[in-house]
Amino acid sequence: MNVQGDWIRWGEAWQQQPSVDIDWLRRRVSRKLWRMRLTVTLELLLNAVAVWQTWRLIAHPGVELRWKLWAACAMLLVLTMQILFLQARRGTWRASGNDPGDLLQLTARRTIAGIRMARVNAGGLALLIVVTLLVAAPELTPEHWQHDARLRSLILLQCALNLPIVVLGFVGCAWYIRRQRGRLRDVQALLRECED
Amino acid sequence: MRQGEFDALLRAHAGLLSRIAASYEADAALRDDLLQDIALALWQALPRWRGEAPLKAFVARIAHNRGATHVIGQMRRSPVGALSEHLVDLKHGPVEYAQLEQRRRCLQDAVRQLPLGLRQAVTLALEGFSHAEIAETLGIRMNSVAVRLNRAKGALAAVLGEGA
Repeated sequence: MNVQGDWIRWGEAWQQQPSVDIDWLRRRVSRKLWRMRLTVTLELLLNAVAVWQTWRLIAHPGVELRWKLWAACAMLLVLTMQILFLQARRGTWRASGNDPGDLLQLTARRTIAGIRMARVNAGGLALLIVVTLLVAAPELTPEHWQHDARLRSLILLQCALNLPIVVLGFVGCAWYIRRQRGRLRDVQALLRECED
Repeated sequence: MRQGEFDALLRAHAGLLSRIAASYEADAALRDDLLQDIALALWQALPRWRGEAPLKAFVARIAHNRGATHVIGQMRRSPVGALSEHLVDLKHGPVEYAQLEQRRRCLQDAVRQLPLGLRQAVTLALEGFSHAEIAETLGIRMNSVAVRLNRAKGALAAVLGEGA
């Protein structure tokens, strides 16, 4: 069998593969598009609620100045995070237009950006904790909460609610960074395969 | 882009898309997911198509790009992948179908075992693309296409148990 003959024979067998149910595919694509839109809308909505809550704290006349400063810091953090998230997602809305090698390089750049984002996330969370502890420092001294049952239960409640979130946040970031590093290694291996 | 135009495009290239998806993923459920991703990418990319390349080459390029990203961390090299329930073949009887199916699966598995660069060139060659069209679609030189196809042919023949 000559070279061209092999390709023709294999091509015939290859093209005899069954096709796909287009109606099913179209329904699935439509659902996925709606899910993507819904995810972004929810994220924006949740951040808008967070900004609105911090703004309420800033504008409330009965709130101490230091807590207003805390609210301003939190608002700045939420807005910065949202801008960074939208920037990171910007590339994923566009479908690939260039060749696979370019796309793999783009994927590698996105993966590196994802690692940076996770670091920013962990840093932002750490910053928020430090700012919160600094602002709340006067209430956290033992002489304050030892003689104030209401303050004591409030601190306990805050710890019970926020500690798991903080731990989960840091663990999540560490897991994501580890996963993205593995992904980056895979992308680089594929890039080498493509260049061969 | 109108829904009707997209439907027509999917119908015209359904075979090409499912075969490219099959060259990247052996697992039926993951292959369905990949097909959805490819279709979604097409829906997003088509408004940018200006007719500078043939539509079939454009569709193949988008599918391969999506396939390449799918490979990262997702590739399964199962020797016996079950057929998706969404795949349809009404042309053949049961015995003929079984024989054809065995040949297809052997070829699919052999193609999936190729390194990414060779696999992309091979799937396009099997779809009937010329060397120039493969070079254009993959963004490589024509002589690289010839080298890749030559290397792939040897590998395919070895896996399929045929003398190269």
